[in-house]
Amino acid sequence: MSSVLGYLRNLFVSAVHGPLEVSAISTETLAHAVHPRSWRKPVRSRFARQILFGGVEATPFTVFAGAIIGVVLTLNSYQWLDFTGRVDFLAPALSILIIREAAPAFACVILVAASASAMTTEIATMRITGEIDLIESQGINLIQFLVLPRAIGLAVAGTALASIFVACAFAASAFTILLIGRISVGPFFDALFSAIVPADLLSLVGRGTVPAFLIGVICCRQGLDATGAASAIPQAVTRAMLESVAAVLVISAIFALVAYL
Amino acid sequence: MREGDTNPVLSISDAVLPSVGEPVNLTLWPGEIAHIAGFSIALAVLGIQPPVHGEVRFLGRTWEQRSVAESERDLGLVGTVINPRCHPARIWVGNLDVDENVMLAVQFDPSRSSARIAARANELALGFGLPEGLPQGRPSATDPGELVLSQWVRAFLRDPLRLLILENPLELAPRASVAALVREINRVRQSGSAVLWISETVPPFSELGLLQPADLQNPAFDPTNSSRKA
Repeated sequence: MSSVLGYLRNLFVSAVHGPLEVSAISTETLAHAVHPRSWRKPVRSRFARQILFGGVEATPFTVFAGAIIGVVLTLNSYQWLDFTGRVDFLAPALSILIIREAAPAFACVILVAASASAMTTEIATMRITGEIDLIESQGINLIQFLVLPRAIGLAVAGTALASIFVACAFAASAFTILLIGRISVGPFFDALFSAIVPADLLSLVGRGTVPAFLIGVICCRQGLDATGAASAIPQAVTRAMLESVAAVLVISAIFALVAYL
Repeated sequence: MREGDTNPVLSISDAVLPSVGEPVNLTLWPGEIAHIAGFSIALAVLGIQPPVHGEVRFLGRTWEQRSVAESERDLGLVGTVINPRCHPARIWVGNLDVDENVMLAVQFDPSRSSARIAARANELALGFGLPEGLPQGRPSATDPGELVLSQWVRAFLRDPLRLLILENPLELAPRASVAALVREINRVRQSGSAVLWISETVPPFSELGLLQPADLQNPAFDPTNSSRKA
């Protein structure tokens, strides 16, 4: 009986340890972020580079993904709404699906694919080779120097990519409507933009920012926890990517619960 | 020693340090210089990789007795030249240029602007014999001699500087730059900094011009020993 309890206890501890650590690092990162003094030149420089690597370089793929998803969602939605005789609901449906659901989710998945691996590898390598010890020995705060610019940079990139995704998906929807030929593009766009409410934009920003921020924190944490030989690096990358995807799903679920319940 | 100094700058008690054969006992007061025979012990002295046995106190307290914020603040009072024969990753952050590396830590001092830091770094670099100032490429693409001089700049950029740890600072350094290094060491000692010199053999302190009258009058100072009596 005691071994079962011990096993359950260990399971519980290992399950909550990760989220607690991520919460602690996130809190300290945000505490640094709100102080202008935290944004020293090396932090600003790394922040700019993170937006470049995480956002700008992922833009072409985001445009591609937004266009494809826009076409797919429009065709599928039209198909089923036409079947039920509610084609007039196409624009509001696409508005909700793209702005609230598809854009932030895909933007974060693109960030995981494009940035999580590189970020975790970089920091894990720094840990294993001794660069982290060097940085610490100089009295530099690791959260301020390593985590802050990456997490906030990804948060900015996440929102920007989600917005780009929305724009491309809407453009692709218009193109698809033209191909279908049974709905006018002008009235379609009027209905599309009329259907957008402030809550949609809040949801877009929130679901683009929060998961992206957590992706940065998770990747930095896994990198900093790497120990031993170089073989620890791919293990850290795998854990970081899985935890990042889990974070995206959890945050999406929370936003959905708040929005719809 | 400065008036009001009640704690030594550095106190090492019976500590087993990496690459040092015997337990080390040492007390360094402001303005003093001492030698330890070893390869690289900076991370142990600075509490990053504490010794498994014994104790290291900086300004009267161990690193474990400090909070994270206090440790970061007090580490900012230490300038370090890491043994040039160590792995490059233990000396330089690989994805930063040399000048960015040199100025990295002091950039986090809110009392100093980037412009002032760059000016002081340039002044030191020129003084140490880098004719074009700090190198601006990656450490992996920089001449080893220039990297050593850049480490000197990084160490002396600290202000205030309470402890200077020099691990084999003359290794790979141009001979013409040694006089400038000695000048800076003597200057910071006059200001109250303590200097800990780590090398496998005892450096010729007297020939280099590092011995001061106070050293000769101090009965505890004996640079020929691998450790000093507290």
